[in-house]
Amino acid sequence: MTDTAATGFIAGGLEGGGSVRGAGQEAGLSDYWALLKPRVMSLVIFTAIVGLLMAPGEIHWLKAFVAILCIAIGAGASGALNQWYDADIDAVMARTAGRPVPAGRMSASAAAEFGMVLSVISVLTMGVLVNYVAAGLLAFTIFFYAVVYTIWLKRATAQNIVIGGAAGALPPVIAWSAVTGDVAHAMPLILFAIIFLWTPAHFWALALVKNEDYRRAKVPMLPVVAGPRATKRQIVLYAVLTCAMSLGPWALGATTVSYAIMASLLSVAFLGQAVRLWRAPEGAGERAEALRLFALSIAYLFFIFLGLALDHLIWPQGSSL
Amino acid sequence: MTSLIPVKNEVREQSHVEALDARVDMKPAQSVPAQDVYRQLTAEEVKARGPRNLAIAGLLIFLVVLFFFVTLIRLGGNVADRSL
Repeated sequence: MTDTAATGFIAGGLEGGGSVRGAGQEAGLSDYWALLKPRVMSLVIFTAIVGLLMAPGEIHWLKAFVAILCIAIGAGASGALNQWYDADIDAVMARTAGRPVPAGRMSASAAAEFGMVLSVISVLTMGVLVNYVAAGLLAFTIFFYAVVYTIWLKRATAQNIVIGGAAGALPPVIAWSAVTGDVAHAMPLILFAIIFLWTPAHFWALALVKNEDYRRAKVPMLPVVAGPRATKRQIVLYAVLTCAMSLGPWALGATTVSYAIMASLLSVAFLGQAVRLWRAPEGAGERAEALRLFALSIAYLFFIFLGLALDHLIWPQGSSL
Repeated sequence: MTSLIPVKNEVREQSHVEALDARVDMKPAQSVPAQDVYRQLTAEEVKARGPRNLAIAGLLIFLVVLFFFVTLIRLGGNVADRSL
C-alpha cells in the first residue's frame, strides 16, 4: 500500500464490516439517499400510515407526521446499517454491486456512522415528541433488522427472511402505538401478521430469480440451500397463510364486507400466481413466473393495505378490537 | 447450511486482511509528521462537502422548528391557562 493510500485510510476512519475501498472519498448526497433504500422505505411509510389511520383515538396531525417521519428515518437507518455490514455480499451480487459502499463511492464506516446517527435521531425524536412505547418499538425494529437479521440470520440460516421479516412487519404496529400508546389490540397484531406471512413468498420469488447471485455470495437463501422445488412449495404455503390472514380484519369485525371482497379477489390473483410458479418447469419459464409473483406480491400488499385504509375512512366503525 | 458460514468468513476475513495490511503499512502515529497523516482534500472532495454541510444544517434547523412546534402542541393550554 502506498503512503497516499495509507494516509487516505486514516483520513477515512477505521473501517468496519466491509472493504477499505472508497476510504477518504467524499460521497455525494445521492449516495446517502441510496443508503436509505428509498423504495423499501416507501412501502414501510405506506403500511405505517395505514396503521396510524386504523388506530382508535386522536392524534394531532403534526405528531402523526413526526411519527411517520421517525419510522421512515428508522427504516432508512436500518438500510444504511445493512449496507455497511453486507458490503462484501453486495459486491458480488449484480443487483447490489452498484450500491455506494461496494461501488467504492463511500467508505463502509461512513455508511455505519450515517446509520447509527439516523437511528439515534429517529428513536429519540419519537420518544420525546410522540411517546416512549413507539420509540421502544422503533428501537427494537432497527436492532432486529440490523443485528438479528443482517449480522446473524442472513448468513446463518435459510429461514433468514422468515424470522427477519418481523422487522418489516412492525412499522404499522409502531404507528398504531404512536396513537394509542400501547399495542394491546388484535388489529395491530393482524397488520403485523399479514406482512410477516407475506414476506417469505415475496423474497423467495426474488431469490429464485437471483439464485446464482445468492449462491455466489454464499448467502443461504432457501433456493440455494433446499433448491427451487422446495422453495416453490414453501411459497405456496406462505401465500395461503397470507391470504387467510388478509381476511383477519373482516373476521374480527373491524372492516366491512367490501374489504373482504377486495381482499378475496386480490388473494385469488396472488395465490393463483404462486400456484403457477409452483407448476412451472425449471428454466426460463420459472424465472418469468417468479418475477411476475415478485411484482404481484408488492401490488398485493399495497392494495390490501389500501383497502383497509379506504374501508376505515369510508365506513369508520372503529377497530379497537 | 452450516458449511456456508466458513466461506462467508473467508470473504470477511479477506477484507479484514486488507484492512490489517493498511494498518501494518502505516508508520506509528508519533513518528509521522502531522502534514503526512492529515492529507489535503482534493478539489472534488471539497466540492462534495458543500451540499452535505448544507443538508446537515437544514436537518438541524428542521429539527429545531419541529421540536418547538410539537412542544407547543404537547403543552397545549397548560401554560397559558395556568393559575397565577
